[in-house]
Amino acid sequence: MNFVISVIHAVADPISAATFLCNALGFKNTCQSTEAVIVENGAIALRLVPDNTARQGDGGCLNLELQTRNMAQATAELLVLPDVSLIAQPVAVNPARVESRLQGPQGILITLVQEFNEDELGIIPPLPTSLIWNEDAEDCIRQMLRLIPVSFRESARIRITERAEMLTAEEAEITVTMNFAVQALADVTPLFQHPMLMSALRQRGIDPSGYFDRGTVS
Amino acid sequence: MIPQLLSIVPKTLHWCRIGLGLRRLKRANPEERAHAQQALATLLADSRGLAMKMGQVMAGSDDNNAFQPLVSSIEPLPLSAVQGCLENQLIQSLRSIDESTAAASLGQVHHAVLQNGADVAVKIRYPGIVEAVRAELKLTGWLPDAGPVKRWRFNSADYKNTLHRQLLRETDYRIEMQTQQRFKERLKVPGLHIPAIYSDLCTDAVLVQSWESGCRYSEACSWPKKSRLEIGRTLLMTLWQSLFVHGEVHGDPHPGNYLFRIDQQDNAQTVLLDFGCTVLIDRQRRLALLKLLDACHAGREIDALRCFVAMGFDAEKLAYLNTKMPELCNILFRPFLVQRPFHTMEWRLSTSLQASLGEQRWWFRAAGPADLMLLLRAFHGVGQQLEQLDIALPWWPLLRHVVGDALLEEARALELPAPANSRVTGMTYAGARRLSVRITENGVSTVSLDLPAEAATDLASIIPKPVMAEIQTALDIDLSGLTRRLQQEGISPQELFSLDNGHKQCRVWLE
Ligand SMILES: Nc1ncnc2c1ncn2[C@@H]1O[C@H](COP(=O)(O)OP(=O)(O)OP(=O)(O)O)[C@@H](O)[C@H]1O
Repeated sequence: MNFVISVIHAVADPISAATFLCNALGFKNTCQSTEAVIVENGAIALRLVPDNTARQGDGGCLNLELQTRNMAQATAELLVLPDVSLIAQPVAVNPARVESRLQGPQGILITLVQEFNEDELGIIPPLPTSLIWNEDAEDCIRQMLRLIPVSFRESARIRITERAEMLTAEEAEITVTMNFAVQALADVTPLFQHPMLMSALRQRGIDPSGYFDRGTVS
Repeated sequence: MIPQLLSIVPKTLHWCRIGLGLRRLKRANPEERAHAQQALATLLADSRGLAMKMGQVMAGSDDNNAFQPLVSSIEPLPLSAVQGCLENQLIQSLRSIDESTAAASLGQVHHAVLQNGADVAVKIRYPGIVEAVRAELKLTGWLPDAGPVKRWRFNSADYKNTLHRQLLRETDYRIEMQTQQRFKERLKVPGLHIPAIYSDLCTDAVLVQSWESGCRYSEACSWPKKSRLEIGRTLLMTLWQSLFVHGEVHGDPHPGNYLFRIDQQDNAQTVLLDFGCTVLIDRQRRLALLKLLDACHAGREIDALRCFVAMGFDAEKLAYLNTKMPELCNILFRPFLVQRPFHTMEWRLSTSLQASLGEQRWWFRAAGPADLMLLLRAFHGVGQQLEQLDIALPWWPLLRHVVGDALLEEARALELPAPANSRVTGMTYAGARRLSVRITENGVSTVSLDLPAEAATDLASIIPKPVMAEIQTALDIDLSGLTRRLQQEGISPQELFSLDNGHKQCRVWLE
């Protein structure tokens, strides 16, 4: 038996709500009867049920969060739709997240969200260290991590740090030096990234030969 | 319920032991006697006292205070009261000696300066303490072979012998002197310092060693991270090197036995004190532990039960936990299994053991030889100290570094002893080996216990009181009559009783 997450939303007019969700927000109408209209977008199923007491435009019953890479453009696109109005201008809830709120038809509330990754924010996060790191070793790894696609970077950051600390402890040391850091970088990153990392290391004046011939550690 | 019961045992015992011990203290003069009495009482009452510690070890290391610093300590005697113990040779070598500020368990420590200007620590045994200890040791049956001790069939003789040996050793400072010299010679751990012994000035009642400066644990816990990491590394490597390489472990690693300081190279130094109590683990046993750790770390299949048996565990008792072995190893060895620095806060040894094994964790404790249980506590103690230092260290690579490839290979190649043919030995109770108790309420199992058959004579403390009351009303069982019958007729396989009142099912049987 399979279960799907389904949200029940009572609306005055299920068909017009479904039309808005399908036309504006990319949902698909999967089932329609007098009792309910079901729409889904692969992540969530909405069961829109008729309720005469629900008033048209009643806000806040169904709050949908939409991720966007461009807040201004997404807001403009939504506002040209009928029955959509802006209720809160974009605000930064924290440096990495901006939110704005729009009211749609049939009690549908839209929260538009734009999240910024470390590249967009122009930051280089610290390594999640447990041991002591030499400054140059930590700086080198933080810079090298920028070369790794941002979506893989967080897990790479953790794995490289842990690996370097394990290598350090193998020598009964508690300070991670450049040697352990570069070896960890080589051990953890996939082979196809090695040439790029090796040339970046050379540019920093570090000779990568000897580190990158062990293959990767799974 | 059972753990609570068990923890009461040592306390009760310890009071009657002190009482008896004190009555036999007759030989010393009144003042000395009073002081020795007080010292002994403090030793036994304090969690660090060996006797209490044994009880606690048996009762389980759930008591997290076992390694806390001494909370109550007796006042040291004035120098005039103990100087009679000092031999002429020592007196002549001393330029000065201060009043003591540190009462130890069986003696007290004075700062002194030798004629050559060297600062020394002079530990002087309390007058009258040897007699007090001897009297103490004459007491037999310090743990009654009844109740919980019997229920889980703890090897109380083993515990008792270990206690006796240790207490006797602690009264002769020459043994401590030799141990300390041995540790100093053997242990090569970064940051570890063991005070030098002045052997020609030592006697059975006086131990002279270099005076060491340093701060206490609580202060070191607020040092910068680098120093705390150095201390943590020293603690871990000291434990592993003493255990796996030398087979002799400091048996009392509580915070009061360390001093900490920063050396001229700005590295943290750990001074290890007090070699009165050590645990000896022979080669075969420690290799078996290393073999098991290595296999668990690498995720290789291994017969964990046979490894434990090779370490000295009782095969018959452990057999009850056979299916739980992988889980048990995962809990016990967790810091060695993760491929990253481990913060011991994540360990939660007691809670995890309880969650995974429930009451059956007592099988594990009861199966373990007394000395290994002390070792488990030493591990646990170091774990707690690392937690207080608030650091995470990679355990496995540090261990590997300490043991080296050769020893690891030797451990991998170790042939484990063949499993015993007949698991059932020494059956004294007309057949039944196991008492099983199952209680289900509204379809949910609330009690599922397998105990040694002998526990059938102690049902009252196994079955929760409200359930027992219900059973007695419903079935009209005379519990003491049942106990008597089993004692008279022998404990043979049988159904003792069962109850099913719709929402609750209870079945108790011997098999
Ligand atoms: N070499 C030393 N330098 C400085 N102080 C010392 C030295 N040895 C012992 N002390 C002090 O004396 C105290 C007791 O010493 P020690 O631990 O050796 O005695 P003990 O009888 O084994 O006591 P306990 O069982 O309470 O640990 C120590 O906590 C420490 O304060």
